[in-house]
Amino acid sequence: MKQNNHIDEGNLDALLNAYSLNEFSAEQDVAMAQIVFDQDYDATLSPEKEAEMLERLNPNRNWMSAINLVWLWIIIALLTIVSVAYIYYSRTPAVEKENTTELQTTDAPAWNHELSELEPVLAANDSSIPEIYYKAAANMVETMIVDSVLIAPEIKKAIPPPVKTPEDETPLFSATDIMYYQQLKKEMIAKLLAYEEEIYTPVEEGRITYKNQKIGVDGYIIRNFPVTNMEYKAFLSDLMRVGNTQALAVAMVKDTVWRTYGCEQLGADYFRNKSYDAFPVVNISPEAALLFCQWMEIQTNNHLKLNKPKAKPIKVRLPYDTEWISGCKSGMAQTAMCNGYQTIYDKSEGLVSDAFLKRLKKIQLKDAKNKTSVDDLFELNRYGRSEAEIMEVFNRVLPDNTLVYPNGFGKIAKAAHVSEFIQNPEEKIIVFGACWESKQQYAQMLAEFKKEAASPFIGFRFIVEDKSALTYKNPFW
Amino acid sequence: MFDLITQLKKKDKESIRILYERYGKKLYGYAITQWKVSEDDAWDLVYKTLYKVIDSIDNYTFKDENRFVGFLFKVFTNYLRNHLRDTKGKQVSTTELLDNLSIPLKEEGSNKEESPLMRCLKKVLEALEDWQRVLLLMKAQDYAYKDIAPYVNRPEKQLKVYNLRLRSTVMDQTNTCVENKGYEAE
Repeated sequence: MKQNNHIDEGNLDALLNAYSLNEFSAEQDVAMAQIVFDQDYDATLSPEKEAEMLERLNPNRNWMSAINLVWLWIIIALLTIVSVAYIYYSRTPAVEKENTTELQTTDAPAWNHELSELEPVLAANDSSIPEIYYKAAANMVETMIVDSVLIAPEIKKAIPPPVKTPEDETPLFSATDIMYYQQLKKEMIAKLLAYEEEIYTPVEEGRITYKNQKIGVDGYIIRNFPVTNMEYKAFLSDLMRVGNTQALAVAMVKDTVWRTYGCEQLGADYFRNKSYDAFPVVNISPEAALLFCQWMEIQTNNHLKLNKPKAKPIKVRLPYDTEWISGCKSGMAQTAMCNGYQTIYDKSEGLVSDAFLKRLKKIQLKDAKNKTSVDDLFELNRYGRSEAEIMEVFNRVLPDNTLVYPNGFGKIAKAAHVSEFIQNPEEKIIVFGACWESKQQYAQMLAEFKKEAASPFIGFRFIVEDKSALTYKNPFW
Repeated sequence: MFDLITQLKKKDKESIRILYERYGKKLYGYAITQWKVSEDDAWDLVYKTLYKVIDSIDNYTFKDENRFVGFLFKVFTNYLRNHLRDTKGKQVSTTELLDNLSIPLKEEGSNKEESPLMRCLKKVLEALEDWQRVLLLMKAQDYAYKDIAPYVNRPEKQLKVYNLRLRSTVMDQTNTCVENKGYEAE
């Protein structure tokens, strides 16, 4: 690259400035400091900003803040007591009757309704999340809370070699790869914080029909497509970098599952070959998806702490089923075209109302006029096809040179067309989404998934809760 | 004269105000005018710098205020450098991430060696006389010639010519060094 091995008028200033920054941040240069402080600059802070800075720099402020905080808590406690007492005493039987149709948030206790018949089919893990996940997560928090720039030599020695599959003895990441994915991680964080519209879509709070009930869903920011192989590699390489072998063991991709479906080539290539970088990551366990979310949250919040100390921390998690439905309803997941069984629009489960299905049909008819070859990809899942047939579909989007991060990801997500891990109100991970040939075929795929705890037809995406990006109008009680 | 360092060690409120008045304001202006940092980001950078200095001043002994100023500037440059590195990432496409960095900042804490280009540039700049290096670096940061003149002991009117010649020399010598792998001979 020209810029990397040649200097000219176009990059000289940038290089001189880089030199200044690198030198003056490494060595004290009193003379240069004096020059900088001798100048008069045409930029001043407003009195309010100045006052805020001085106030925040004041070391005694912490005591004052603590005292203020005590008063704040007393006021909140009093208000809560008064509110609860008011609600309790003003409640009448008539109001209780109306509550069946009252707007409820996803956190409200009204979730205690009976589980529908679809639930056992969807439940990916009947038992609670294994203990190892929590251990790995706790370990991850400890090692990543300071971004683990430095690892003590004795810890380094104790780190076992990178996890390898029995089939492939070459390490997944070289030292150069790890550096590359560190850069990618930074870009992922930057894009998340900017909520770039190619990747993220804000969904405002709203009402949906869910299991024949009207419920309210808080606002959230959802990804437009599942987490990709490339992003997942950034996650794994970061775990490898900090030597978190416990989390790595949970998070590792189970390439070999492809082979149980007779897909030898995909087993070797799908995760490892860069050609598939933009495809959704699959063959991972629900616990791995949870770990990824936790990692993304920790990394982003660490970045915020350092660079925007005033910003509120964000929450990254798997979507709830209600959020999936509301997202799809808003047209975010673009799952309208389906010629088989679409889990999200299962009328027998009462997941959507008649009115919604009617409107959907109208949209489908309208969309059919502008249908492209890529839209065809989305009509049916790849389950039950031979490797050659699956690769034929993948190859339809693979040679497209426009598939540069992130613009082409939506298209590739359509080609891959996977179901996704989401959470239900009991915090269990379930599988949701994608168009299947029939409900029976979907149930069969889930049964196979339970055997391996991973499937080539299941990926995941995450949502972001950011109180500063969206307004939450629902009262906290 | 008010002993700023001693008073800062006592976490005296007035000393913090003086620290801000003398240096914080200048750093804020420097970040905005010379480095085109946004107002909010400049505020953050100055706040973090002053906080860090106040917080860590007990660990240091300074011979005089000039040394302290050098330390303060170093802390600020560190934050500025990290800020530029992080914000730059937002504008770079992943596929070109490693190729198109217009400002090749060295990763903090990484063992990655500087590029041959940066090593050659460093070598060439270090071979220059102090006034020549100051002129080049200050001009690259958009300082006016009249502001640079007092530090290089040269007539203001001649600085433009000096600067153009120096730029040309630095470019030629750096490119030759890269081509001949002159950076390996260090």
